[in-house]
Amino acid sequence: MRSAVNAGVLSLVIEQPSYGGEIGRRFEERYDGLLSSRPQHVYKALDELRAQGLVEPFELDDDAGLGQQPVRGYRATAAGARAYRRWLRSPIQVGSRARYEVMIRLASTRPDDCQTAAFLLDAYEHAVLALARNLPVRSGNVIDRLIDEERRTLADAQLRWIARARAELRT
Amino acid sequence: MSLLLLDRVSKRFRRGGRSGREQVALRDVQLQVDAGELVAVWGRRRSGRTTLLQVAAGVERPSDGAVRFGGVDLARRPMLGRPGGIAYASTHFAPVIGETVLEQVGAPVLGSDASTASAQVVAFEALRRVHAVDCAEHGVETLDHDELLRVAIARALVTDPRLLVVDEPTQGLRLARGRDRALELLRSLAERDGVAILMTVAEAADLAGADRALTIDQGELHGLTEPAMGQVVELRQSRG
Repeated sequence: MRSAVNAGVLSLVIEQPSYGGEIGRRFEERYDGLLSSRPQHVYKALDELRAQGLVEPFELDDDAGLGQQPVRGYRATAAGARAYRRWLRSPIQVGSRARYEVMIRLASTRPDDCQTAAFLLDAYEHAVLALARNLPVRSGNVIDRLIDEERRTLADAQLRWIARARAELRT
Repeated sequence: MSLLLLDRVSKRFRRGGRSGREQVALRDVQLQVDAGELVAVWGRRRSGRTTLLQVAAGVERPSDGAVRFGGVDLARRPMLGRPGGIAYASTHFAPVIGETVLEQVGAPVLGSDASTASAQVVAFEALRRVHAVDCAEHGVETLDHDELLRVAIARALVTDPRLLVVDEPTQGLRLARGRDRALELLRSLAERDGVAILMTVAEAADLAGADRALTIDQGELHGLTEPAMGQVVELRQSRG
């Protein structure tokens, strides 16, 4: 799955089948700061996922409290569930976008799926260590030094967070 | 065959007090280090980082698993301080060993058949390798952090080790320049002299330039615990 928005929408449909507006609301909460959550993006993602056979429409009953008219909801197909699992565990490239990729997938991980969370932490750590290893040993001018210092400080914070996250998963 | 192999190593310490509870310092650690490789392990305090080095060097025996150096179990044949073996660079110097840096650095070779004069020649050469010749006639207590680290490494080098173990080499080095110089020294020992280095660091900045970087937390080692396959290793001309 190439689109992170599509993957995020699919994970929300798997978590709780629902109608577009409600999925959009959860999308905004879940991926705030990570992905653009404009309604048209979510509806476009649902259309694409449906065209790919990863979600299918179904009729929501009145218990949802949405009025008299039947409302069309979306639920995942078996192919959608498989695509979601493949996406979560697919390799993450080392680079500046690794954090973004890990955070989106972590936000898409079920709270009881500690194995996937651990996999994502390993991938994140791998990326942070690779960047830290490749930082210049000696910095040049004052701007270079400031930029390197920011990267080092960030790497320390990321490694500390990963250690805390692992401890959290163990409990 | 790896120079150093920690094969499913665990280490437990018994806590004091009535409870007698065990503290697990290392959990099922797997680690390989090749000749000439610089491996840095990032870890917080009480993460197990120092125990990892102590077990790797043979200072502590593992509770489970085995530590092999050149294929030989350290439990059968300790290699710490032996020529061509393992050296642990410690910045602790006992005053009783000697008054000057030269005496302190040469002390490890005095145990063999070496005379005081030949030990001093070896010590002087080790100090030259770490760019600390100026410290030779001074007392250890007069050294600053940067010099103390260099002298500690020099003392470790007198037995011509194939593996050098260093716990937080940049600790106490407040200035970036001192830290850069310390890391450059360790890198040059690995690159130029082919000495494998296993070190712990407390800051990500100290991972710069390492061949491999790992982390340790609650006794678990994470990251690439063995050298990457297909790594191109430049052949070095043998010394001497």
